[in-house]
Amino acid sequence: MAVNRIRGAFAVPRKGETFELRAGLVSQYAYERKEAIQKTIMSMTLGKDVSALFPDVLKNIATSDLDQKKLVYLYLMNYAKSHPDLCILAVNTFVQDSEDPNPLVRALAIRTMGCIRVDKMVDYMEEPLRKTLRDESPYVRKTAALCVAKLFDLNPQLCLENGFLETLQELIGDPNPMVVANSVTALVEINETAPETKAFIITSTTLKKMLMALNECTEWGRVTILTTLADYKAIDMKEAEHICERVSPQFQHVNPSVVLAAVKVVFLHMKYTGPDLAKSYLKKMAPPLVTLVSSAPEVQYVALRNIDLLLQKQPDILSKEMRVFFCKYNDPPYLKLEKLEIMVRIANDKNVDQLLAELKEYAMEVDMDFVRRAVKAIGQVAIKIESASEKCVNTLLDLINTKVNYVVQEAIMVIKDIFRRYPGYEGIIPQLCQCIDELDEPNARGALIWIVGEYAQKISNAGDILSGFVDGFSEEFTQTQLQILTAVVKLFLKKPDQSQGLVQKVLQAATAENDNPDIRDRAYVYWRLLSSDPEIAKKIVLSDKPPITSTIQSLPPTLLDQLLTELSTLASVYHKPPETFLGQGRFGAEAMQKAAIEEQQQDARENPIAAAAATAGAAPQNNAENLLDIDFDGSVPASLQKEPPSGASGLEGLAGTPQRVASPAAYAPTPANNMDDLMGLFGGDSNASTQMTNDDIMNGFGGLNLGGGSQPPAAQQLGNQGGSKSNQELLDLF
Amino acid sequence: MGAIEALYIFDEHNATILEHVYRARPPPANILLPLFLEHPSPRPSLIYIPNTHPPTLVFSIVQDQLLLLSPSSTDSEPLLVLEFLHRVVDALEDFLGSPLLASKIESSYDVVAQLLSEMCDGGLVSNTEPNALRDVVEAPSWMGRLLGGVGLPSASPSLTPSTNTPFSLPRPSIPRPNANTTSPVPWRRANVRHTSNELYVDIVETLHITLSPSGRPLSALAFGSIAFTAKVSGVPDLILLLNAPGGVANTISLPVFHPCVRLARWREKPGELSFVPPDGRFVLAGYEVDLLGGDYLSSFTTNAKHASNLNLPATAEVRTGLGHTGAEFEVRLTLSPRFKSSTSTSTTSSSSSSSFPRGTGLGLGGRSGSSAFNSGGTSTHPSIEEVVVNVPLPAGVQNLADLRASRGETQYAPGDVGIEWRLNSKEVATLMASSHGGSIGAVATLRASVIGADDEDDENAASSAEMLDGGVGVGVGRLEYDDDEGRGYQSTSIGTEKPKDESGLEQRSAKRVKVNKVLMPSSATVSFSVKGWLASGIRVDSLLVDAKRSRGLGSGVTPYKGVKYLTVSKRGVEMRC
Repeated sequence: MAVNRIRGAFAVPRKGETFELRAGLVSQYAYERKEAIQKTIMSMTLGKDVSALFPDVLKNIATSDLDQKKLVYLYLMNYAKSHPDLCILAVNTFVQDSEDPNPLVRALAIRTMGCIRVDKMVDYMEEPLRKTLRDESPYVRKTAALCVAKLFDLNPQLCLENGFLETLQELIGDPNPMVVANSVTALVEINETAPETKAFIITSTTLKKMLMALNECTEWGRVTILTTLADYKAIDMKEAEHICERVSPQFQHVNPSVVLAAVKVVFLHMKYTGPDLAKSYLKKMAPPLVTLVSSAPEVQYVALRNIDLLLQKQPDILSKEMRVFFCKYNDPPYLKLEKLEIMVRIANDKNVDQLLAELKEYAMEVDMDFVRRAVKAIGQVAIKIESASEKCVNTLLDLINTKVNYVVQEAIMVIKDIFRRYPGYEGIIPQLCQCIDELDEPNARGALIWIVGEYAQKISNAGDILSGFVDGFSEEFTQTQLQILTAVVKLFLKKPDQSQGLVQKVLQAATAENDNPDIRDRAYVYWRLLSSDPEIAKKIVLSDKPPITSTIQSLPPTLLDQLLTELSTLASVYHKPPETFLGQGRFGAEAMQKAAIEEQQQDARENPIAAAAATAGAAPQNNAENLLDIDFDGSVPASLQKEPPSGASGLEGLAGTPQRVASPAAYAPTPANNMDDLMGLFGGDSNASTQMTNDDIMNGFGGLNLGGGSQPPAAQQLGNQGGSKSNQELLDLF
Repeated sequence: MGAIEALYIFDEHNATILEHVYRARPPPANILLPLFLEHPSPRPSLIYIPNTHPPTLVFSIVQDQLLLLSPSSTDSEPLLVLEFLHRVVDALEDFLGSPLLASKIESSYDVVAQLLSEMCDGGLVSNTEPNALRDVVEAPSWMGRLLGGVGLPSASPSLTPSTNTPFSLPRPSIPRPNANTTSPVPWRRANVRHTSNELYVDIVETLHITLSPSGRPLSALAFGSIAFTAKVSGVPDLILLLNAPGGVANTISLPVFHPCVRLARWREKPGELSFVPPDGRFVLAGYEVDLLGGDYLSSFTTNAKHASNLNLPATAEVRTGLGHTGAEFEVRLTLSPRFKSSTSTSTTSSSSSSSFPRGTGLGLGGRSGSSAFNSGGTSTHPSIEEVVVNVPLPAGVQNLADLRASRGETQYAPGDVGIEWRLNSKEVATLMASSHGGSIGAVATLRASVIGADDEDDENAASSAEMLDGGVGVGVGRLEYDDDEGRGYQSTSIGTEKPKDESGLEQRSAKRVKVNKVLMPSSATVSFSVKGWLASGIRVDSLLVDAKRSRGLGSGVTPYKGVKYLTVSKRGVEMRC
């Protein structure tokens, strides 16, 4: 039954139906007319086109029945555009209604007039709007206030000439908080569409009024006021303190959007207050953030993304609330990964034991992406907290003993990072070497080979292990081949007597039998180094590498600061500056979407250091020519980059971020974003490209600081361009 | 600036039942929906759809099988839009009755359309308070429809009784206020009148507890919400005093309040809520309680074997890898003896330490649908009901053999993602009675063995192994299948196959143990509801009407008051194994 009715809804209304409705609408009996109007509204709500009934519905506008009037008005709002000429017939009633003794009717009239977006209507709005803006009822005034914004959108000139903007500005001083909130909303909207009007400038008086209204207006009004306050720059410390003081009670509102908006205001203003005060506000901020996480799942996702952002700036706000972020079995995967991310961020030496126990549990689950991310998180914790590193290593060894293939592979990659951070764990190398046969992923193989090469002097059978790999050299993936090459050279430099044959064999294979220029080039470089002076080769290849500082992916500080001002908006959810997906048309937007959807998967797959390192270290990986090319790169005309994607999805991301190349200065702080895009496109291969650069760094281009977030922006800029260059080269290869 | 562009509602068959456009020109519902559905499930609450022009963001929530979508093509505040969708659902439920059904929306489109245009003016959310909406939109009424149907002028609303839906409140029988008397309190309707004055407090705590395999709690949080029902004339000013062992300030963390609560008062004296309530039922406050206490984190590091003092009404324990091939698992459900089943005790009336005229929890008995709960346990004799154990199964599990529970009903069909094991109140009662109040409590068990995907490849080995296992395989035949054809092979194969040589079997079963390890469930969740008990121990000390500040309430009128406590776990107690 119901299904039939619904199916009917999609069909074009049959003639009979419209006929019937029309007959009802012009009936001589009031109840028949009312029923017909109700039915018409029903068809309209179902998405049917009943605009043909416009003249007939219009006849029913002059009624004293408020319900019926509302329905007719609703109909008018919806279909006014289809019959702009006929709308004039309704004007008389509108004007009359705007003087009705019942404020509900007055408000209804002015609201409907505003929503009828027909040019001819505009001329008749002037008088009713002027009257209703000064209406005695606050309900009418607040409706009229919004109407000014609607009118401005249609005809700014008329608005300015009639002084509606000034009236609106006066309404900020209205005694009724709802009127204040709506006036602010209207002014902000006008200001956004036409900044030149300077419609909305916060002065100390308007600020006072807004703060007064904040506690009394509806939750939606509060969101408006809070958003406005967040954009405002306090003139002095006292004002900032005052704002924080008045806004912080909003933390306890039930509406999560109010809470987040309040958090945003306090977060942005507290840096202008004294350090003690700022600290106390930071403390107060934790509970409302936690409430956001414990709300409905759809709210959680947005909340978690915002919390992630806040934590990057203030890592210690939530360190006592670790347990809130524990994953539930039933959590959707995108929430689980987000929670893991946050748990790693708030880990400290107090809660690390609990976190490790939890992460170990996760690593035993069945969802592969989640498990890998959990294993990676253990490594991140180890590198973040020195005191916990031993426990982490033990946990990882336990996991390796489970012999679950993907757990072992991920654990090996993670342990490689731990080696790069702390000395003294060489004792576990034999255990790692035992699982050599189980590794089938290039990244994991590469990691183990790196370990073998790096600690060749401590591994008695390093030569045997590596010769096994050299035998299968031609079947390996590119990044594994590079690793084998480097590891064998290291082994040779450390134990020249044992591995002379091996190094010759591998160099031969890499130069004569391989057609990958990267591998060939590197092999030639090594060969020349070794043949000229082994001592120099030693200095270069075996030089001390600075320990890595963090494997947790962070946004660059400038981007982070920008995003923090966008807290609670979409930008904060996608961690991209709004201009990358707003106002850049399809390409920019597409890139964002790709990143948004694939981000979680990517995060699980990719090595965090790879992304961090690729941005920083891709430049040295390219040869000097490439470095010199940067200038040239910068001057590439944007149009060249903006060419539409040629069907291959891989090109879209490049096309999506053309601005960066076109004007490097403006987009300097977006390397992570850029990398995301690039990696998103490559899918599985993204690992290949980034891992390659990553491994290169390990191999001794020592001077560069590898920490993810700590390079100066200039270096990022450099790396960024280099990175894109190398990726472009890869694309060419494809 | 966050603006709502449109609202679309779809029913459970994904057919459009409502399209309401607020501003701009968003893509119509029938274009948007397929794009939305393209995104693989589970879908995040906001999805970016680039194939439309302009590219659109879609916000979505699902309520009672209805899908609500709101498209947006500008940078809006996600939480605001999502919260608005929730409020739309709340308002519709309030006006049309809960649960929200497609048919209900379809039969009262005029009201729905009025509501939607009232809640959001040209894309800007304006008014979502149910009380304020009642001032401007008339709820659908049987009488009105009846009178309208026979052509009589609609009677004045004061005569119309309300639609009597189980979860919504009876409409207060007051005439629709003249619109020129808008209420001075934004959340309260003007001119409220009730013939009988009643106040009810329902405190509901939802448990979210994760226990480690050893039974040690990893995290234990209770989310409480205080639902308040005020049916009092005039503008009452109320004071609600809460108490808790160890003090309210130490117990409750993260309280959130309805805008009517005076925050300053709470900050001065935690546990004291002073407010002018909206009319009808509303959520007065929400809070969170860390059942483990704040210092649990530090004790975790010092003493790993921290004793739990949670005293949960029901817990489960999963033991995996049992049986010859490691294909079996067992779930043991333990009910705490402190709680008892409701069926035997539902009439208990006990005095309690509360200052209310009658025992707590009895105030609502017999009243019309002002509360969702039936009469049940009391605070001195809390009772446990509706115990359900869910055991999610890994994706590799194709079927279960020999699924039996010592009590209650189990639900599982081949290919399901989990087992549902349900004990109704009667079974809980018999279980409790059989335990005779032992210190351990009543125990029920569920056993099953898994059949994985690769069993189909070498089913001989599997089935013969099961044969040796004590005829486990025979149980397969007892299971009721919906799709017999594809699955019946196992019972037949068992009949024909003979066990093979023993030595090969040894190896195979060792291999099976390893294979089956992956197929073992890794957690179980317990759901239940307990009346008359709050996990946090919070109590209502008193509820007073401040006579000096209240207006419109006749002198000497003392409203009837009632309090109820309820603790529920909706798959909230998770046991890992």
